Formats: sequence, structure tokens, C-alpha cells
Amino acid sequence: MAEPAARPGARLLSLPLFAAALVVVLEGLRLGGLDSPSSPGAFPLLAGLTMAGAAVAIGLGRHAGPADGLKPLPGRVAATMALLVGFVAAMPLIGFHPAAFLFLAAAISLSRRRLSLGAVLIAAASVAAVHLVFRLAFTVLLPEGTLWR
Amino acid sequence: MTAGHLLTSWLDPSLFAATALGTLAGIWIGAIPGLSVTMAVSILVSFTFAWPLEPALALMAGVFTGGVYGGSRSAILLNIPGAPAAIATALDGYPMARRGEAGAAIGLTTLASFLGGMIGVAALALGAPAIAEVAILFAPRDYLLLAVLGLLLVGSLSGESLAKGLFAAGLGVTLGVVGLDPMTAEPRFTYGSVALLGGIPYIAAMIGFFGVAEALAQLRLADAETVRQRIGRIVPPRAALRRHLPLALRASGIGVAIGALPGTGGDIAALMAYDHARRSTRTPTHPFGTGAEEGVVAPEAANNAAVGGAYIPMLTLGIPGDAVTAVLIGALYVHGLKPGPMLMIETPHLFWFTVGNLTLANVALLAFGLAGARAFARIAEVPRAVLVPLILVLSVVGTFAIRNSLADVWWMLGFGITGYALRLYGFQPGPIILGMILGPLMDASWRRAVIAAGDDVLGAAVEATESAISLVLIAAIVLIALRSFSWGKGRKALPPTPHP
Repeated sequence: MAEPAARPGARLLSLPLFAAALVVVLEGLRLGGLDSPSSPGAFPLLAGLTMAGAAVAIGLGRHAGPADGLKPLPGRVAATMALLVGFVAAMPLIGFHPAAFLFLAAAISLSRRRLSLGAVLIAAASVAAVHLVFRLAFTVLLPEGTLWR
Repeated sequence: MTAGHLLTSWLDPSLFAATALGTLAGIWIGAIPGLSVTMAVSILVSFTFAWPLEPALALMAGVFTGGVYGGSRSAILLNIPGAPAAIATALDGYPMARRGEAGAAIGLTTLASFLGGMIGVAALALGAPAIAEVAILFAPRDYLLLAVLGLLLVGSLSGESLAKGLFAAGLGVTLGVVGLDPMTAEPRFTYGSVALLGGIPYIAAMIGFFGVAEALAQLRLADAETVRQRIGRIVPPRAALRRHLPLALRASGIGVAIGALPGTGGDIAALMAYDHARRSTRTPTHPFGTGAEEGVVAPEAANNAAVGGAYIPMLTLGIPGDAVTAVLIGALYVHGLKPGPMLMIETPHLFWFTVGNLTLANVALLAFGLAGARAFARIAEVPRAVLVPLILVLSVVGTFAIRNSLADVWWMLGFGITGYALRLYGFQPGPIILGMILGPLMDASWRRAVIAAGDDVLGAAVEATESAISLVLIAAIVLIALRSFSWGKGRKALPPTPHP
């Protein structure tokens, strides 16, 4: 049976993984990991060495990541990530409710590939439901926005 | 008598409602394709941090129980397991639905889940007090060995390669020790940042890895069309119940045992029970893989039995049984509790309260599962294009609710996007979260064990060989390591989630 195709760049991934492991090892050494087995750095050093060994094994391994025929980062996912970052960034300024409404309306429209009244209504109803459940029932404090003060 | 607390959540209307609503929410979320019970628990428990302890515990028990069961709905109706624990259920559940027997499959899974869940709770009630008594005898090295065993198990079973599992576990352990060292107050991995001195907020990490990362991964499948199935008779005939009872009991036993092992959970239990059913059933109703009733009974009994099983190491040792109990341990810490043998000794009423909660959750599961079969079928068809943005908003609200901190929300987003990338390359979030929870425990246990032996690693190793508990744990670690050691080689792991 043919080996399943690996996701592009899967082997290269072991390089940043190894670099991350190296950071952990260096912090372990800085904290005296080699000086005493009970030092604050001993356990991070062990964890870092395990990560480094695993990163090497991942780089040399045959199964370097599942390819499922879908794009790793479709435009829709990338755009949703960007919207999400925008939503969180806007929250302290304009408040949770408007930010969440705008995010939901935009993200639902994006996923459906069309701007529709339905998306706007779902967004409005969802924000109202979140307010009822979380603000009123669970008494979660949500940012109100500095812009409206 | 502390066992009297078994009935607390049955008699108090608000606790009864919290458990029942939690179960309903768990089934609802579990029924939605791709939304795991870990995600449900991660997001929902974040709203309970301002609550008193009892209703929070009640809600968690309900969500966990309902979520594991709810995953079977989309597995049967859409061939998309609602949770990893329902992967095995899809193998025969979906062919049953295609044959027009969706109602029968739902009925059987509901009864099997109820039976398995009750057996899991009975095992918790009977086994946990005994284990807690033994756990008092555990030395720090035993906790270290137990944590290593858990990470090794979850690392080797939850992904395509042990190397990826170990890397993820190492990463989690590292994230877990960020902040001031509890023994020397020396900053670790803080790089001069005052914000990092208190450590990384692990609930935010959990919501990121399980909520945002999963939601974004589901968005990749937003174009997949859903298929409607006809639901006929739900309650199975008595003859079918009699026929499947012995298998359901055996599968429940498997579920309890696997669930009680640190690091393993309902998904492994369900697959092992399915394998057992396939090997032990000479004349299934249909060949396995084409709609055998035994193929839905065994995994569903096992994965719900694993819920009670997973509570055993969590409450008695403070070691998570699986990813969900890792999240629950995080939640218990936030509520000021420290799971472990002393929890069982100092606050036994909470243990019996939890047993009562889980029992109530299983009864609620049976009622909602049978009565709401058709309603839950519609939930499974909610389009991802609407669902995913809603989950993302809930993840933001949930994270913010923990400490009213926007910094936590940014952490959560960072972990979510990182988790999405890691998931694409076959890294599972389970070992990371388990590592985060177990990291501080392992660090402290390692250092206490070494200090007790005069700062001598060799001395600590020799001491370990003189303890029966340590020897058993070492033997288990060696056995698992030898069985799963295949650095870089492809290994048979959990089957991939099927898509329609």
C-alpha cells in the first residue's frame, strides 16, 4: 500500500521545533540544571532534552504529517483568524456587544461566501442571547468600551 | 454520614437543575460535529468560576457525561463523530442509519451509555476510597512515575507518532512551569516579563487549544454537506436488550479500567471495546462495519463508563484520567480545591456529592437521550458556517470571564492559532494540556525525591527499587515504552475522523 502523502513543509517543521527545544534547554542550563538535580533548572533541562530528541525524531520520521486533501490554511480560516484578532482588539474600545456583533456578521457572511440579512439577524440574536445568558444569568462582566464613556 | 451527600444534588432544586442543564448542554454540544467534550467543558466551566463550588461541580459532571454521550449522535446520523470517543460508534452506527435504523442505533447507544455510565459511577464509589488510602503511601517519586506514565500513555496513544506525543507533552510541561519557582522563587521562562511571573493561565490555554483550534479546524470543512436521516423507533425491543447486555457489561468494565489509567480516556476505551466486541461476538446482527448493533453498544458503554473511571485518578491522586479531567482539575484548582488523597480524606462529602452528581447526570442522559432524539438530530445539522463564529465568541467570553482579563484572551488566541497549526501536522492538544497540569507536579515530585535521597539521582533510583508501588509503576512505564517505541516510524493510532 502506498504511504499517505505528508503535508507540505512537515519535515521543515522539525527545525522550529528543535529551536523551541533549544530555548528550553538553554533556560534549564541558565537555571543551574547541570549544577544540581534538584535545582530549578533540572526539570526544564530534562523536558528540553526530551523535546529536542523528539524534534530530531520527527524530522527523520516517515510519517511527517497527515495530508487530507484540504488546504492547510484556506482563505476562509485565515480571514476568520484576522477577524477574531480584530474582534478582541476592538473589544476594549467599542465594547463587547458591538464588537461581537460585527465579528459574527462578518465571519458568518465570510463562511457562507455572501453578505445576507440572515447573517446580520443571526449575529444580533446571538449577541442578545450571550447578553441574556452570560451578562444577566452568569453575571459575567463584559467590556463596555472606552469610546462610549 | 458523608455518603448522605449522594442525594444532595437530587434534593436541592438548583443543583438538580445545574446537573440536568449541564447534561443537556453536554449532549447538545457533543452532538455538534467536531465539537469535543473537552471543548464543551473548557468553555462552560470558565463561566462557573464565580459560582459557589457545588453548582459548579454539578454543571461539570453533567457536561462531561452528556458530552461523551452526545458525540454518538452525529456519528450515527452524519458519519462525523461528535467527539473522538464516538469514532468507533460511527463505524457501525452510520451504516445502521443508512439502512433506516437510526432510531434503533440511537436507542441502543442511549441505553448502553446509561448502563456504562452507571457502572463507571459504581466503580468510582467503590474504588476511589480504597485507592485514596493506598495513595497516602505514595512517595514523591511515585507521583513523578505516575505522571510520566500518564504522559507516555497519552503521548503514545493520541497521535500518529510517539515523538510528536512526547514533544507535545514536553511543551506542555514547559508551559506548566513558567513563572516563579515554588521552591526557590526564581523566575523561570519569564524573560523579564512581570506578567509571566504568575505563570501561564492554563484555562486560557485549554480554551485556546480545544475551543479556538478545534473551531478553526472545523471551518476547513464548512463546505461539507449534511445528510438527513430518517429516525424510526427509538426504544429497542427487549430481546435486543437481553442479547446485548453481557457485551455492554464487559465493555463497561473495559471502559472503567481504561478510563482509570492516567492519560487515557473514552476514545481509547471505545476503540478497545469495539475491538473486543468484534473478537468476542460470533454472530453479530450484521457483519461488523456494515451496521452491527454490537458495534454501537460496546463503544458507547465503554466511553461513558470511562467517565467514572477517569474521575478515580483525578480525585484520588490529582492525576488527570484524560484531557477532560485535566480541564476539570484546572477548574478545581481555581475553586480552591486540590485534588488528591487529602481531598478524599478532608472533604469526603465533596466526593460523595460528585458520585451523586454523576448518577443524576446519567439519569438525565437517559431521559434527554430518549425523549430528545429527534431534536438532537436537528442540532447535528447546524451548519458550521454559523456554529464556528459562535464558538469563537463563546471562547472569548469564557476566557474573559475567568479573571476579567483581556491579556488572558490574547493568550487564548495565541494558543488557539498555535494549536491549529500543530493540529495540521498531527500534534494532539491532549498531551500539551496534560503536560501543563502535570508539569508543576512532576517538577516538585522530582526535586523532592532527589532531595530526600541527598541530592543524588542514583540514590533516588535505588530507593525506588525498594518500594513495591514504585516498582509496579516503573514496570508499567517500561512496558508501555517498549510497546510504543517507534521513533519516527508510522504507527497505528486512532483512526481518522471520517467525513461525509
